[in-house]
Amino acid sequence: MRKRFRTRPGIGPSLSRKVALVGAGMSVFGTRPETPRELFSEAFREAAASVDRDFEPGQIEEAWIGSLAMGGYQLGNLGPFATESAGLAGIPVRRVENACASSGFALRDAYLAIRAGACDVALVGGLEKMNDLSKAHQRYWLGVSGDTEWERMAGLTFPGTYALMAQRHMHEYGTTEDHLAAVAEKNHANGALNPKAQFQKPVAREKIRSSAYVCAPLRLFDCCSTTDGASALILANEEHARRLTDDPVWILGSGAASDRLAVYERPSLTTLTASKTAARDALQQSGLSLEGIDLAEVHDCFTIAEILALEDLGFCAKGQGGPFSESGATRRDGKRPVNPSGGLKAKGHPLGATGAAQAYEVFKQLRGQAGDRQVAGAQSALTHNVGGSGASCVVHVFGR
Amino acid sequence: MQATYLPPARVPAQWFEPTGTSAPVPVPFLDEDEATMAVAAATSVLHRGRLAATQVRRIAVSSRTGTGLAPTIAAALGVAPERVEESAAILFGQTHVGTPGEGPVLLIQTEAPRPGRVPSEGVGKGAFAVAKLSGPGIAADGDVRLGADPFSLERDVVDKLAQWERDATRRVTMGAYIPAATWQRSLGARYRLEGATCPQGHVSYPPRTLCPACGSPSTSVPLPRPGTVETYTVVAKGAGPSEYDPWQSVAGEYAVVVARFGAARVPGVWTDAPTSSLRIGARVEPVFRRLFGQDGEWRYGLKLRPA
Repeated sequence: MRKRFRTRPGIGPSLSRKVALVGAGMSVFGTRPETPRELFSEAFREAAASVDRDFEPGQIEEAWIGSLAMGGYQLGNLGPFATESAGLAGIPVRRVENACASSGFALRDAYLAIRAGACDVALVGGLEKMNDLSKAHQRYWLGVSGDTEWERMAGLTFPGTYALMAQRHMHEYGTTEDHLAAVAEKNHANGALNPKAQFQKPVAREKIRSSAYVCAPLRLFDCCSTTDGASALILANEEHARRLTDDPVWILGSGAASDRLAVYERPSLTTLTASKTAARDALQQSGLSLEGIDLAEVHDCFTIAEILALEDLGFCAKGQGGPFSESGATRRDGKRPVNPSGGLKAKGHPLGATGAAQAYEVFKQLRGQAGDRQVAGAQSALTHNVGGSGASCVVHVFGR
Repeated sequence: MQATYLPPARVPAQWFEPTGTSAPVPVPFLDEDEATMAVAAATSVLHRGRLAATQVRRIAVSSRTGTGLAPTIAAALGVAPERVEESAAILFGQTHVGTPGEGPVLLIQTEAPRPGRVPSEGVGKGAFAVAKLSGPGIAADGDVRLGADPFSLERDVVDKLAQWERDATRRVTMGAYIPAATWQRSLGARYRLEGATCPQGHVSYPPRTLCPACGSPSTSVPLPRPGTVETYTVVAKGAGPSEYDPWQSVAGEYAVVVARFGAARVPGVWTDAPTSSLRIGARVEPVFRRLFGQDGEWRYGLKLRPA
């Protein structure tokens, strides 16, 4: 008889199996001349090398790969496309797709499979090659993860969709363009310390504030870039984690949710309900409160998205995301470090690779291997990965 | 060859009535301010032909509204007002051009330019310049006397216009793809602002057969008007979806508005007023407009304008 598992944290039977990150890798993000296969190999090689001992790729039993299929470059069977590049042809693999949250959900699916006892050691990957596409192709592909038929066809791509939220947020809560700029400034400052970031230099507030409007009120520096990149995580159950390393990063909680596809159809234009639900479930499962989280990697595809995330995750009150950012609380040395990697804004946002790359940052930070951008004494972390304009969201909580 | 001008009354103001429509739907063939686009088209034709305003003999413009375009063009180009004529359509040779069905046309007759100085994209010596207001300038073959081969002139003009129409509706190679058949099945929402309501009173736009809030069967219902702006964004040139590119190449930046109509919100492109006049809380009404071309045909739907 087939076993059935209730996968929603806190509702189903308690599954005692612990799951850990034992290895993590990511390619350098940016405009890369290499092929997607080479980028994925680069990420996987680092992940495999990061496992402390007794590891060989043959121990990986199954894989989950997040991607938006690189604009159609490899629309079908992208899973095998990625795993064969890592020398893993043969194992079961599938592509996981939830727009920009693809590899965040791939991580969740692998985590659930290990918890369920379906496998012991698993690979989670993410892969995107964006900068080889023509501009027209990019705007096609990047605008079809919201509601295509009604929202996009009304003249909106993603900067436009988030601009609608920003405009309303400004109207309801008095958020200003300076608040938005504070987010960009902080994330670029962090990215300057990340040798794998797409943009590795600080950007002055004046430059951000004077950049051209893309979709008002969002300016060029309020938007993340298009990026080539890949990411890879190696997950193991408790038994194998203890065999493979003395320094596992435990996945303490996983929460996920969905919402109406179109922003205009949601009750609120300034709240991502899926973020709230996913964070609540992940934290509840982890047993940690938000106060116990030492750093967060949140989905800042646009500056307003980080402000929404701060509010929806509960770091500050609703409407206070702007002043909270301006106060410096989210800086690396602030009381609530957010996006020490530089975030999507500075590190880059290769859509399908982003969720696993957030977990990569957490892996480095919690093991004290984050170099110049290390958050001192970080013992716990949260990742927040949003698909599209909030139609899907997945949150993970990690600890030592 | 003569170009003669039809009085506005000869062409009906309404030409399209979709199947099952309870009331005729007026179809303005081009969005945006006609005068701005006509001036831009005329300027472009003269510029590319390296023609001075004093070389313009006559300008004919077909207009949707039939009022007020001629003096605006004359003033903007510095052409004597009596040289600019306005009508609903232009009979060019044996063919009407610029009818409401195909869109307005700007016809410029000039002094003969020097050889090699073709007013526009160039199919000949260039005495007439024909510009489609929503598209690039189109030059017609022929010389000033127009006696040699009038049919080639007519054919060139008409063919050029038809070519423009084909290009404009097919140029979007990377538009998000909603098949024409799918589009046609949702005309109630697209043309008449119909939403749906369920027995629990939830309202959705676009309408669904099952209520997205509670799953109950839903029925179609017209949304109350006018609406109120809840949020908006101004989309810079090049930052919109690719299917809007041909239009944006002429119109520049545009705004997208999300407005509340009763219990539902509706997104739409802002029109008939400058983007700078947009305010949250402003009252808006839907207006039926051409949106973009795809698969060789025009897609129509609602835009939003001040109520």
